[in-house]
Amino acid sequence: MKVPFTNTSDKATVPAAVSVALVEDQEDLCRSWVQIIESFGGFECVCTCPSAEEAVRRIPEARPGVILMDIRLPRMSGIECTSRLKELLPTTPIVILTVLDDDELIFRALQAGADGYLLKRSKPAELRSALLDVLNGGAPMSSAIARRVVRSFRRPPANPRNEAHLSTREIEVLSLLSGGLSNKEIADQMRLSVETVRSYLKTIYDKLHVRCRTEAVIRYNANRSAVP
Amino acid sequence: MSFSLFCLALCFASVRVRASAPATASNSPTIFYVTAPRPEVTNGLGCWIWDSVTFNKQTVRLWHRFEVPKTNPIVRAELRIAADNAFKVWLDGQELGSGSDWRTLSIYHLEGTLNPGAHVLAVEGFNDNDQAGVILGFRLETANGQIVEIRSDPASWRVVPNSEGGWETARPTENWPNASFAANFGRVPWWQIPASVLHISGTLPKPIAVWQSREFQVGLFAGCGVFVIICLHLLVQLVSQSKAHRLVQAERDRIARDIHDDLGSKLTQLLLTGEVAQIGSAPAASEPLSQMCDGARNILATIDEVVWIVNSQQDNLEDFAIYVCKYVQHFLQLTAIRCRFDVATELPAKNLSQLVRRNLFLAIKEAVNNAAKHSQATQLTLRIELIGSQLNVVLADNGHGFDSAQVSQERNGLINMKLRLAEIGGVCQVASRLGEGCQISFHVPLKPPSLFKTWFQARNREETTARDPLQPEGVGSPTNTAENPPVKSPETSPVAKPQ
Repeated sequence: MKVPFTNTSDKATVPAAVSVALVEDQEDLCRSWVQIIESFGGFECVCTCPSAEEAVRRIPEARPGVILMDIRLPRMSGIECTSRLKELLPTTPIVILTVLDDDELIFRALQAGADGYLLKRSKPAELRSALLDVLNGGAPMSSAIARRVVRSFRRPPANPRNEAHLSTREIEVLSLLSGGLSNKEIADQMRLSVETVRSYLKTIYDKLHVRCRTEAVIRYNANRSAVP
Repeated sequence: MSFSLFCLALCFASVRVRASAPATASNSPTIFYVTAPRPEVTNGLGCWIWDSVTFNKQTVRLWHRFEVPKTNPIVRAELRIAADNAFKVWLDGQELGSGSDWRTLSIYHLEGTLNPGAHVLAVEGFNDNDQAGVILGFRLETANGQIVEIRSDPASWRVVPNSEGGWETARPTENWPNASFAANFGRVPWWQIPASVLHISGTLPKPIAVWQSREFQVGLFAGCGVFVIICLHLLVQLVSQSKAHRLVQAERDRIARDIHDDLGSKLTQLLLTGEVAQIGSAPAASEPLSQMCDGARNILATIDEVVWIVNSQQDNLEDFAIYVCKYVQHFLQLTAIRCRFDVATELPAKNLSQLVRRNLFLAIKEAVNNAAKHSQATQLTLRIELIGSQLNVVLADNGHGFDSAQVSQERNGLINMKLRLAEIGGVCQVASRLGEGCQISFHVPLKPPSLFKTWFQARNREETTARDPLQPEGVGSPTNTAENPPVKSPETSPVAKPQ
């Protein structure tokens, strides 16, 4: 995983601010996010988009270090937007923002290529550590998401060309995670470093994305149109 | 439904058998031969009978019932019959034959058996012109050689009105008049002997089985009809009920969306505004703001719960397990208790009603809360499993436990959990001993409700909802009308004064 952060860390003494792009349709909320993110120090908002369409158009040019993406957007959803941006900027991490803790929705965003997720109600400090974590190649995964990932890999992929398999170690990490263990507890039990566990999770996300490249977007949109 | 179709098929089959019965009688070898008209051929004949009036082109139906002795079935019979001008004759509704020459006497030699009991001999006579009459003699021979003789006579024969249907077997009613005497044997039309004698062989009608009888078939048809109607009624109710169910689901989803879009987004906005206000402010000023933000976070978490309960797309076991695990993990993060989940990777696809989800979740919440507050445990294991059609949720902690006999049940919210489980037809068991942790198990049967039960509940619900809105109206209106006049009268009096 190429991390944009490393580009700037060459000049170790004065690290340039990480550029953040924000996709959020509510103006007030958008303004608050910008203020909060810039208050952290070391982060700079370079692009704010009120719609997914605009995000697909403007974000590739802005080349941000990380993208924050609202899931519910007018017209094109945040999930579809994530999928399209992943095609254009495969190495840029995308963190999904959601009002409600709906792990079905979060899981679809992860399938579409998102690298992390965060509830909008999270404390600013949590947002900061989530941003830093994703920039360092981390992949947050709760037991609920781990369960969904395991189930998803048990089914054959919609497109046979997208075949991707989990290694035994990765399956072990997932099952421990869905059993309620934290990353640290998993590391202890498997005699690994926490870093290795994190990299396993990152690989799992990448494989999930490969498997579900277009499927997740289609399924989400189909579901959406079913409920008026 | 399939049963009623089967009944209908049976009905049609029996009708076919009935229809084919006379055919078999006539298909049996019928031998005709003509003999010279000797005087003895007229033995056993009655007198000529007809309706009370006679006119040209007249059809008269003559009807006679006779009894076969109980212990002796008939084994052979001989029917002699002639009519001026034509006849058709039935025994027990099955046609024996017909004739259209007034000068010929037809003699039917009938083989077979006729069971003891009542039988009906029916003759339809037709008069072309002038004089008319039917003359017959029916000689029946029982198994032990006893003879039963029936003759045409006005006293024992009835005339059936032409409007009567199925008269060949029907019971007589009071408006069936007796037949009338037309002429004595030995007078017109034949005088002493017929011009010719025609011998015909045939069989006695086969006894009709119970299920072939008209009464049984009518009953069966009616039964099938009623059954089909009940089936259709149930079907219509089920369809409308599932339609109502879909409407309720759509409404639930709409509520979930509204809560999310309106409440959730706006509250998030408030929360972020509060967070922005804290940036760079003095600690003294940010303290109440921080409290406010935490309050908003709690409300948003509660909204999450409500939306999950309301959302119909998550009415299944898998989503339930995922949600409960997530909740427990999140809740215990703030405590010193580790959580462990023992849940099968693939839970069977099973629907969980909103009622079950809600009550079970709230009971689990209560149990986890108790463990966090009182147990002083370091680990809590949550097991969710489906055994047969029973859902088991078990929460076991390794805390100091308690003596169930000594601890007040109310304090631990045990009564609450028991009530919640009772509401969904489940049970709650608490096992604990001092120093040995505590295990709380919830067992919920997940049998799909029977068709009848669903229908019955739907009916009950309809009745209660239909009754309730009427109640306030019925109580309210009489009091209003009673109160109105006294209020109005003082108002009208000042107006009346200036006049």
